[in-house]
Amino acid sequence: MTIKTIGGLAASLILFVSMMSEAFANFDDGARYAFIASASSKSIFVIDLQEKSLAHTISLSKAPSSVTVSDRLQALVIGHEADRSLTLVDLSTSELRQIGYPLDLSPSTVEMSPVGETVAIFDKEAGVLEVHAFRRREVLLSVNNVRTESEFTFSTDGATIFWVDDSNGSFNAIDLWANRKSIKLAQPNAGLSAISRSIDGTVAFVSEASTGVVHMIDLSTFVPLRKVPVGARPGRPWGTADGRYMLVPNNGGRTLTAISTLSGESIYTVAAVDHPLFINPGWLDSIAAAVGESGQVAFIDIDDGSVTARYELDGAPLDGIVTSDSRTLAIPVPESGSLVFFDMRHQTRMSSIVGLPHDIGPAALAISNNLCH
Amino acid sequence: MHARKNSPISAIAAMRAQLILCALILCSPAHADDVVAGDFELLDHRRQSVTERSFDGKLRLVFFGFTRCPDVCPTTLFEVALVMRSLGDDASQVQPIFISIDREFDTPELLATYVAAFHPSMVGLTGSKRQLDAAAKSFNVTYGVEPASDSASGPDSVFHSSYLFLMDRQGGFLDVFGYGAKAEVIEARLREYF
Repeated sequence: MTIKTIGGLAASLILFVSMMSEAFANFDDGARYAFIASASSKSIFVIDLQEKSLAHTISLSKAPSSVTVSDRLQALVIGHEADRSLTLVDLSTSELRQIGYPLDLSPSTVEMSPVGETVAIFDKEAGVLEVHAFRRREVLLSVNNVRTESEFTFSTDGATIFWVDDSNGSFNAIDLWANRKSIKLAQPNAGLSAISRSIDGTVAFVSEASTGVVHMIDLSTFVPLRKVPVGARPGRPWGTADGRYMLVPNNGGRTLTAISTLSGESIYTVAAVDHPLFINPGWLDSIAAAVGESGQVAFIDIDDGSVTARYELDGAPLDGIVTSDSRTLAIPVPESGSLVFFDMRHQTRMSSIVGLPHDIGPAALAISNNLCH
Repeated sequence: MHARKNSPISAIAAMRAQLILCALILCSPAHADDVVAGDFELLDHRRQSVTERSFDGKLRLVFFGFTRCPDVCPTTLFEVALVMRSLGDDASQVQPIFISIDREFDTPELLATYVAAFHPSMVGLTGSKRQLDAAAKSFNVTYGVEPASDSASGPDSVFHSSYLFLMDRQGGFLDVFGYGAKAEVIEARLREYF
């Protein structure tokens, strides 16, 4: 009887402790947790990248259209495009407190600045771009007549935002003091990609699909430096974190081109995957994963361009993320409701998280780069 | 938010920054497991010449940065300090090493004060440009220091890789931690090698 009582007490304590640990779980470790939105389930899935498991599900009252995360604010910023609002989730508290943040625009795009305290919000239909500082609940910048089909790119200090307008072939910038610049980069509808910048923030790289080149633009003077010929219909360049290369997926074929940032020349073009969508460098920038729209994955030795391994995903992927130790690649696959993990060091497929809704979006991770400015 | 306008540096200056960067990383090993050799010959914060062999017998946690760094360097070194305190007596088996890539600003004397603020056993290293370039190349680390064009344009622009390297008792590469790795993760990995 005594043993039974103690056993019951122990069980109660274990239950209590487990409830406490659940109640006091928080997800403010910016290198460990990634977040994925699903509109149909009105949820944000919290992914533990260390354990490669689903750590928690955050239920929302409104369908999310995007999610981004700030390590500085220890907060999630969730966009509700149809509802013209954001929800901020405080990751530093066990309650994961949600705060409504009404907007005067529909957040088609929500982009976190590298400083982590301001967010660019773009209403694609209205052509309005705003920059908000959440701590002060202040609109730092509001500008009209912005047109773009692709993502925005912040300067390294977060004070300037860059974008391309493919409809008129322009490359544009605006700073927080509303100084706006624009240069013509290409003919209208030439297929300009989103912008990637060099790690020191001085040079932008933009692909032009129609002519098969990558433009290099000096961001301090706004002067085009050169055009680098690559493959057919190149997409957005992806920079290695060590700054040596820009890796360009050539969507018109099945190749990847590496551009040396030193010489501004293409170093090699390698057969990779059909219609490469994105490229994730990893393992100390020695290996890159090229991922195609049909789910092909090819690992490439960045220095010599050789293919080291190939895999097939169970469906069309979304942009992958690499952990800050450059070791793990995670790729969402909405078609199969899964998040697939790869070991970048050994180029092997690891486990998957399955059972996610089939409308999951891209994964957001607060700390994924490995360069301090 | 701290924000400043970009200084109107010329295209030549911008390309020079690229050259500073790229001069360090022209040759890099071809195989993934060989990307970090971990060799160095530098000056410690007591002005003693040291190499990777000077710490033989101890595991090492090696981080490249600079003392003026506002966030990544102090955050990472703070986690390293937490690890050292948590290790207790086992801390004697681990040598934390901070290599400053800001050689013009970070004198050995300044480094001595800086590393001591984190942990008494932490060593601060610096050296000539040639020595730092060689060390960075050996660790596959990228860095660049672009002096401010004038005093009104703000501080120097400095950037560097933010990996924390775990090296074995002879200075060979064991593992790497990304920025943001917590002390308990680092400690757990370290203890696998005790």
